[in-house]
Amino acid sequence: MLNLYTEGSIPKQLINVEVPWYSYFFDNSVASDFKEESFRDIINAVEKTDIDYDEQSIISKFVKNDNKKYPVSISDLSEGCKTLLCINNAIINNEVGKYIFNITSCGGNAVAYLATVMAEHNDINAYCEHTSFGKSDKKAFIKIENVELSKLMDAKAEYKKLLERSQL
Amino acid sequence: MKEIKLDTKLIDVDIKLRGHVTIVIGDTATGKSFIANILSRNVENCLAIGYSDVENKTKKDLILKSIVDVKGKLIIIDQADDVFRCAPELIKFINNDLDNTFIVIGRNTPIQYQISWLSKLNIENGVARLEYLEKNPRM
Repeated sequence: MLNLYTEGSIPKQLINVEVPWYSYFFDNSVASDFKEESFRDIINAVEKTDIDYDEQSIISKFVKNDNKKYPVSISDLSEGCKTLLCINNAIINNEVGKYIFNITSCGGNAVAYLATVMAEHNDINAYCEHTSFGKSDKKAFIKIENVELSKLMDAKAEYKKLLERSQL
Repeated sequence: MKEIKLDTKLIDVDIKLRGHVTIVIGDTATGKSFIANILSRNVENCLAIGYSDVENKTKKDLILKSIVDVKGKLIIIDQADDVFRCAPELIKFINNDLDNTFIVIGRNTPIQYQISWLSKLNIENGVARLEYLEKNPRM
């Protein structure tokens, strides 16, 4: 279940992870998880690009045709994808419950993956400052103020109300 | 209207900036930060500001000092939601500064903007373009 909070309503026992991927990626502590299937799944789903398994590198999807095999480093991935990789790293290490993750860098597609796939079997705490939750036909696993919601569009409306209340 | 055309080894850029602020929104992994990096490396008189530039007071003060008197620059604010949270002074600066051109990349930007400034990035066949949400704005 993805438990969503606004910045003003974070439970005190949780460690607030500002922008998690900075500390993770600058000391490369996630790079060793390249072998993890979930790691590749996240990159393939959110970035919609390939991992070159032989080279263990990620292929850029934006470059010109003559550079089609241009490899990029983990730090070149999108901020939303890196945020999900950090959450995934916490799941792998059985530490996800300790933290509340700032998912403000996640766009609608990344939030959708988080709420429909990653939160299916894990309790993940997060907050963000936008309601770009996107659309998804898949069942979403999302909870806002103890209310379970099954659609991202419903969650978007509920979270908007929560954000407005927190800004009063 | 300001036009930026680049032909780099990795990608071509062909973007038109309508006003003194252009806001770029969009899903994760649509190339927003990638283009911010390309522009900052290849456009003369360009300054890119991201979360790591304002994450603590020392860095933030340096950035604020560096932009206070500049003119004619292209200033890119990437990760704008996090940048504005750490450096809310930038919001007022952007709202009042007409001497520079800004590209603001974020989802919930608190600056005062017009709908005609909102755009999405489209990268196809190695060419990056901005698609404005309002196709034909009243000028």
